[in-house]
Amino acid sequence: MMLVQPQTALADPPTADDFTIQYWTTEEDGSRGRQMTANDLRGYVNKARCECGQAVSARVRLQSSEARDSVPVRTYIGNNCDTAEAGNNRQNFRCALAISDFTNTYTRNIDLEFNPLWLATGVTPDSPRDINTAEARYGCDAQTGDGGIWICVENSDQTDCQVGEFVISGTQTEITDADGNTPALTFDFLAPTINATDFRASGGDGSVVIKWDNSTTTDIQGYRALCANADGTPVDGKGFSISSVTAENRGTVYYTAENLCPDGPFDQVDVDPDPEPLPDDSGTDTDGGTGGDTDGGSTSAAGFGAEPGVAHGGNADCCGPGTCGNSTCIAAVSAELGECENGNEWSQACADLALDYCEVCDGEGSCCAENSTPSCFDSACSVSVCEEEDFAYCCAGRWDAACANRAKDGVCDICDAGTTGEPGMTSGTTTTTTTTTTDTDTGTDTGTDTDGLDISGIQTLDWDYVCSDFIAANASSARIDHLTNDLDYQVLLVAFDYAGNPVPASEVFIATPRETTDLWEQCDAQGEICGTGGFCSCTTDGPSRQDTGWLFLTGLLGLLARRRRTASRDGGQA
Amino acid sequence: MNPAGLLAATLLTAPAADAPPPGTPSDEALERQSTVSFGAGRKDKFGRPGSPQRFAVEIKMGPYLPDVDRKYTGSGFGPYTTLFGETDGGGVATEDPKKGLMPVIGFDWQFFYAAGPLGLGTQVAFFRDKASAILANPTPEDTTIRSEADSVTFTLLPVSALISYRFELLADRFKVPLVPYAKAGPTYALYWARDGRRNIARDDDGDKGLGGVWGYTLNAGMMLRLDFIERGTAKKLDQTTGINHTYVFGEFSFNRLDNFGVGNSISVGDATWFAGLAIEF
Repeated sequence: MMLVQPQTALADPPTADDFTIQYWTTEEDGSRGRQMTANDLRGYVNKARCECGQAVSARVRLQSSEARDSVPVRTYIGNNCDTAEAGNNRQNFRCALAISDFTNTYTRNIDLEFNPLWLATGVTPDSPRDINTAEARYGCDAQTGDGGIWICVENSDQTDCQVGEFVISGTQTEITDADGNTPALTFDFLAPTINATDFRASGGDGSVVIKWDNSTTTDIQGYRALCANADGTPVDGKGFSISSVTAENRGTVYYTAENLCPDGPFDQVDVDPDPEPLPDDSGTDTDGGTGGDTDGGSTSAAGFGAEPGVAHGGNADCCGPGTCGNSTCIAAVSAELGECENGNEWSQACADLALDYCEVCDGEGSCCAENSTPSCFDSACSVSVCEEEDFAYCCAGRWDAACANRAKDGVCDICDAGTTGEPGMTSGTTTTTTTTTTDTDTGTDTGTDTDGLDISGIQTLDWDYVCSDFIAANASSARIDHLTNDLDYQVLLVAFDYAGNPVPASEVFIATPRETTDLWEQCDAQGEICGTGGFCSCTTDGPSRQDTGWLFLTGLLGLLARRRRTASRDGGQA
Repeated sequence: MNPAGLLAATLLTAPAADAPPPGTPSDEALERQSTVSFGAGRKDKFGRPGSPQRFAVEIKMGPYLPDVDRKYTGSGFGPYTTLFGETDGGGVATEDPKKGLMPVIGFDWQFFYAAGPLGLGTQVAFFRDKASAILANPTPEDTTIRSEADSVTFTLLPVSALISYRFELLADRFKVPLVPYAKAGPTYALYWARDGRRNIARDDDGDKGLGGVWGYTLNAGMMLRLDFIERGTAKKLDQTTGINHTYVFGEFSFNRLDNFGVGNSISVGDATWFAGLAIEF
């Protein structure tokens, strides 16, 4: 795009400090909602909002305290826009262009709305750059990082923006949190990694209790329990709703597109129908920017670390054919198969063995749904899928939806109907545990499975199934009350991150609330041994025989005291 | 040995008041060397050396098990043992419950001295028992009659008003570091039972497992006055903080908490022992 400079130079071109950048939420109809808080900047843009096309509204303004050169100023939406513009971005997909105008125009408030998808991806090479007509290279796939507005002030004779001409590098906002940090606008389209295992559900009196082991720390912000009747319908009196699509959740709510925009997306962006798989570390790095960047764009500035699932880096190559740079993995595999001693000639056979022998190939996520890691947690399933040529990338790159679909397509037993293929689960069965003593936890498993039950409803994660308050990430149990004894319920625990991206953390359990006996009922059953309660047992039943001695003794002491006082008075008178 | 003989033996074995053991500095020597003014010859209105002594505070702990099943005369275990007792693998009670640990805090106002302070005070204790609830309708498929999901609890909060007497004459005058004592008085024990839903328990008649029960408490024990370990430090403590004496003690405690047998009331007393620390100031 060629812009014609209409005026001669008056002063230095604007710098980062001359611009103010503000972000707002938007309603379903695209109208501006409230201004984003620090919490919003860190956790508002999630996968559901991306899939729903819930726009982010922004305002850009150039302070006009002095006359400026009237030079071309371009505003882009995305991440790594400077390196992409220079053509050396790892993705090489340039950012969408939101505004292209001259300095003077920027001295007025310029409002714009953009689909959150543009925070994470660039435009396809043959696409127009304009944000309203551009085609996105990737959809709302598993990516996370900092994005935002990039502003390039052209100050050279070259017509396109150069790396050094970006004065605003995506992370600049006007919001400061309580700790004095200025968070960038974070996009998080990546489901969290499940950190809990050994789920058990058991029925209490009018309740179901879920317990799990919680041993490691990941990016899970918390949990919600979901309940359904045995026939798969939501339980009366349960369910969850939000006051508006712009409500601030502070990490206590999960979102899915079906919950957020049940009537369909608010806005849509054309996406490249045949994108290449995302690189492992896509979208996580926004530094390398120019002036005005305060923290290098890291998402860890306020405790929001990078998603663990994208941490495999180049070592993940060992998990697919090609090369393997992990010496430990090479040694382990070559011990089994001599031809794998050369990491530069890493065959499919080597890669298959690596899935079994190399820690770097241990997947962490679901097999039956897309996850952020190469391969999935079940090595047998990973091998079965990745040994097919078309799906070899599933173990070297990312276990995407196509990998999951292949796993569900009869390749992996763990993805048979009735299971979700999540870590920590046993295929096809669920377990309930019953404590057998009052002081210890020795117990036996009694098992209840979901065979024959329709669990598809609860697996949609519809908010109508939510039956618990927010459960903190460090919790290891949850109690769901107000259920009916002796009825079967489906129960599912959902984990989500700060942005509200959910992932089923447990399998669907069947649990049955059962009436229990307390001390008072037990006393009643054994002859009202505990009496009738109350703060004054002032009944007219009269004393029992065994305690008449106490009353007699009390009376005797009283008589003695009176006699002594009488004697003392008589003595005094004498 | 009768009490008179015991007293005589104690007096004979105790060191004389004005003759400290060899190597032990005299009170006068301690006073000369100290930077703290001991107030030579200072005595309270009852003639005891040191600052005035008006109060005592004690904390103690001991095993406790409310005798809820005391009135149970049927076969097998009573209701409390059935719920809170030791169980087999199937959750069925096989033994009495283990005693729980009961912390107690007490306070005395010492208003009269007659060879030892006579006091009026109070003490507050706390006890809680917890067990997995029993399934109301266990089935043959159940390997245990207990619920993993539900726990039931029984909590007791006895509050006592006690008159106390501590025989401190030997300790005050003859440096025998032992102080026998006794306390007695009425007790009101608040209690509440919770069901598996964490609500206050109710029986089928709607009666709540919540209330209070009257009774009485008798305590008798022996206190070891710790001043003898460092007499100089004890005196400094008195001068600087007003704490006259510090003790460790053990006591036998008899609690009959059943509304004096009147009416149909729960029984939550026990006969047990406590050990603790006390100070007088």
